[in-house]
Amino acid sequence: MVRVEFASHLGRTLGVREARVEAGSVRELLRALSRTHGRPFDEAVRSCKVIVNGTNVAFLQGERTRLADGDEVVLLPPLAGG
Amino acid sequence: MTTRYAGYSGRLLDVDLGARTWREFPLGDRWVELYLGGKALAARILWEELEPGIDPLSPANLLVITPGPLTGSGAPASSRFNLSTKNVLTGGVLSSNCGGTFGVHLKRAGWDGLIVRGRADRPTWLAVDEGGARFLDARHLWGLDTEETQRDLSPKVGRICIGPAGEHLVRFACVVSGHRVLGRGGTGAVMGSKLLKRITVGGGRRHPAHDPEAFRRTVRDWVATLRGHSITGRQLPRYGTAALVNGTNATNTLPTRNFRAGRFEAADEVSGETMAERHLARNDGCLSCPIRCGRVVRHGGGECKGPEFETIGMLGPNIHNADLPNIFRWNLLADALGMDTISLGSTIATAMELRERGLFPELPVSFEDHAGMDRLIEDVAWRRGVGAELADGSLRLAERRGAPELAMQSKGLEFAAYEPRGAVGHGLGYAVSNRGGCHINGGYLVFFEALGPLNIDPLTPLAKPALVVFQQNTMEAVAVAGGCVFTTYAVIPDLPAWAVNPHGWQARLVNQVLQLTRFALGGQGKMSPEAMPFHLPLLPHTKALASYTGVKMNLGLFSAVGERSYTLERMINLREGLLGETDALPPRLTDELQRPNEPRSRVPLAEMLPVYYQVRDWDAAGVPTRRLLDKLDLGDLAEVADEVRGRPEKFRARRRALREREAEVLGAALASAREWAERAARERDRWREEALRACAAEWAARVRRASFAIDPDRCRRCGLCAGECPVGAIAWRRTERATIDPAKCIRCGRCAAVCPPHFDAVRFVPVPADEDRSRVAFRVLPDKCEKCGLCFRKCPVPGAISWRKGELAVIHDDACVACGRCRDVCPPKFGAIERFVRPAGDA
Repeated sequence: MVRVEFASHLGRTLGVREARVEAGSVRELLRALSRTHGRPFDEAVRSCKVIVNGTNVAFLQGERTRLADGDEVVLLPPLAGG
Repeated sequence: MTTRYAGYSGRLLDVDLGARTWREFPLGDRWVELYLGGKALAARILWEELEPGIDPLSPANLLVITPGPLTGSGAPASSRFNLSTKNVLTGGVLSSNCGGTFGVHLKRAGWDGLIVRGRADRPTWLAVDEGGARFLDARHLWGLDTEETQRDLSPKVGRICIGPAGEHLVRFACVVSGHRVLGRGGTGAVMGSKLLKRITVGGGRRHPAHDPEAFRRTVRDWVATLRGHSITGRQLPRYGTAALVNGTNATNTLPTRNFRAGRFEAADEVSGETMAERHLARNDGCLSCPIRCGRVVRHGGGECKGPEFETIGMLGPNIHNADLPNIFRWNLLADALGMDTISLGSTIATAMELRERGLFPELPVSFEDHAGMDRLIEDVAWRRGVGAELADGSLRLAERRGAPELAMQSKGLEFAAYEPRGAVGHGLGYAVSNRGGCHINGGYLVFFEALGPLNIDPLTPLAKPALVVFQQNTMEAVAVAGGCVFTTYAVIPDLPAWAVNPHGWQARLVNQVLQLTRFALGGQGKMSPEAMPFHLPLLPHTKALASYTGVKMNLGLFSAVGERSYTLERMINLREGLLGETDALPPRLTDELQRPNEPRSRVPLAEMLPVYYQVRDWDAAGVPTRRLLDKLDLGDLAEVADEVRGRPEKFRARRRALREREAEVLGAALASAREWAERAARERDRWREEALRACAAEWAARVRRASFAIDPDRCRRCGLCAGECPVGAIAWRRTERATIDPAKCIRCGRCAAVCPPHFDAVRFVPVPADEDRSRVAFRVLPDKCEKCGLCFRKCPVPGAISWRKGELAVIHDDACVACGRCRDVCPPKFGAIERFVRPAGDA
């Protein structure tokens, strides 16, 4: 099981702040979430970063990044402040 | 020659507190074109007027307060103003930026800025209007917190003030304006050292745009862009800056336990999402801002201002606290006392780590125990007990306790709430920032590296120096214009739904290409301002500036303003002895790995710094080259730059001497501040009464020498003056502006008193000598007065006549404006009021 956190307004859009999903890779994870949450998720996730245990998957193997039991994934929409 | 550009008044108000005088400081076209306003103009004034090597808390320091050209123009998120002075923590330059309304009021008062010199001989309230400055008594306000200090002011008046922390010269004391704060670098202590408790400003001057139609269009599109963007239209309005808690935690950039880690296990407890779900009452925001990132939260049975991300980070994870209501309370306390929450939290975290190591055993709080925090925060502000040591900031505290490496700061200013080992370019920004360890002045690279829409490797040093320079220049220019830096977050558009898969190979390719930015942006320092003669649709500041002021503006010139401002501030720092070696970070961030299994999780500063200097066109020692200074029209600074290059020791010695003397200067200023605080505690009521009487007397003296006229350009036809006029001398209809009939007018000044300060439509017109009533007075004849109270009821000046049933009426000469209304209404059969003229020389 992978723990997924929907950060910032992504959580508001989906109506939940986190989920537990069975997935072996980032691609599988996104597909599973897409099935559960449908179109709002597909639209929102376009601009999100996928962060696995503190590292952006863009610097791992992208969508092919393997996920293991207990991994923590954050879907992070663009944020700013200061 | 004052400037011809729209949006400017062409003059700054230059005030000397010691001599209690003011003069006009002219602003010409050339300076407008080069510096626009805000921190760039302030830096130029500091360069000209600030004597190098002086102590920031000495009377020789200057406060320069400057709004930007767009401040109050109606452009979105553009109500900001800047305060520049010598930095109390670093000894270098400080520019601090604030929203709210003060800057807008300053422009309406017809001033492009305010320069404050010297030191008052008693606690002073500086009141600014179109006619200049008045020096009022603030002895009765000394020792009050910022809330109480602002309580008696009309909401229509712009104000800044300090609390007890500023009075006690806490090195990170802030200046408070309404609920907003000029946070960093000890602005409050500088005001405190001048015995300047508050400044108020009001006026009614309007600044029409140069090209109103083009400006209106630009603003309309700009507001739509901000509302539509996912950051400025969704994240910031919904969660405020606090949304960053979970974001930074996910990306290893949330400072935890004095910057020892980038993740906090209980981050969600203090996140913006939790705040929105459990505590949020509504949003709050600055004037003319569509973003409204401010929070109002339910707390302690009422509503109060909610904390910003920086406050949460520094008073939450960084001191290992996961209790959000605690943060609400400490935030309010720090605001009331007038202290910067970033430096406060960081200094407390440093103290906690010192205690952990046995170097500060008497500290009453620790990472595990926050029970004594409220008391400690108050003690810091009043410099009591251990609080006195914390009041000097983390660097001085850690030095005194023998472990300077534990202070999380650069140049002496504490870092904001981003752990740079998770975003190394952000670390470079901290090291080079002119203000000290500041995220905004450092370019806010964490936005590119970890939080924003792009995927740039946060741990590579490649491309980072060039991006830092680019960001610093852009954000500097936006701040100079009077805009909020939050408007720059909409610069990168949201990815449309049809865009490439953001997690696929295409996006990764883009990331690789972005790392080549080093070469694309590498020549910024040598690039001519003429190179980008266009506007960017998502950076509408340039268009807004051009249409509002008429100044020639495009992306290249705008960026050059930022570069000029940044270089100028760097030059001030160099002149004060902050040379290249102060572009540094604590060894924790450069040498220790944040995560043992990630060999890149440290800031490779030594690799990035030389490239940064190169991109900026500074030499290897970090001094701007002559070529760069010439390019930026700062050629007259080259002499100092050459001297820094040739004799760096002279400048280092200057800084050392400052540090050696600083305790002595602080001690002397503090003794005087404490004495006033003690006397205020005893004599506050008497002083308050005296201050009120002095206000009334000042008003009366002005009215006695004036007649009144209504300015048709300012009158908004509200009719307030007509309703209040005791003799019906004002003609007014909903459709017509009010006019005063001079034949009926008794010159009581009631109309001027009631006209709302933001209209300020009633003019004081000086009268010829024979109509001057300065010596005229009225008295009640006791044997004739029938104690009816009619004169008391009809007197147009509150407080000028007192009367109680069955007692004689008394006319108070100091508040009386000598309009004679009392004599006119006293029934002729009594004739109890007599007019007389005091002999010359009689006070």
